[in-house]
Amino acid sequence: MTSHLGFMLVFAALVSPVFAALHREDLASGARFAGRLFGALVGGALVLSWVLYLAFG
Amino acid sequence: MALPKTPISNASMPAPARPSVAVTCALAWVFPGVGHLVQGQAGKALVFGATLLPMYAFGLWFGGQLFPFEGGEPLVLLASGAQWMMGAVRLLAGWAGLGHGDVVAASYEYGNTFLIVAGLLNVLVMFDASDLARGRKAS
Repeated sequence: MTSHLGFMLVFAALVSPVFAALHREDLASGARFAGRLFGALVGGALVLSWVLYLAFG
Repeated sequence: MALPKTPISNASMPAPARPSVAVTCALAWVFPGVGHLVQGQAGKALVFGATLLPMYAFGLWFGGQLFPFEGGEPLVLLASGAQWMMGAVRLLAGWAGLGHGDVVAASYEYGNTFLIVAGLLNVLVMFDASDLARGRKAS
């Protein structure tokens, strides 16, 4: 795999459940937390990359 | 004559024996999730095992390097320490001859990142297991 987006998706998908399990006790809220964290990691990286592209690209 | 229905008090029941803080931390270091397993949190143990092990495997697959302990290179030393936080997984990967590091591969730095972050996340897991063993968190 050589796609930067692919690496980022795999990384976010593996990190999110760990933090969810550390910060939430029940399965339902943990799943919601993991989903929000996954979205924040991927979305934040996309937004930041666009900002950097527009500023310095 | 019917006996009165009285609830059984939890206070009269002996608490299940749980490993000490040191043993829990050691087990959590040796293998991700085992610290939580011995503290009665099988679900969390499954999550940690099912995420940190693949993360380490992905790191090796992406061409990441298992760094040696070298005092002369502070960043290499820190990276090595983080990777060793995966305990037996790091040991087995070293014994299996994995992690030579494909420096020219496009995914080399990604692999290193996966290996290092997996170890650092396991440190957080060890702290959480320690809190469970100390009774700071409900198990």
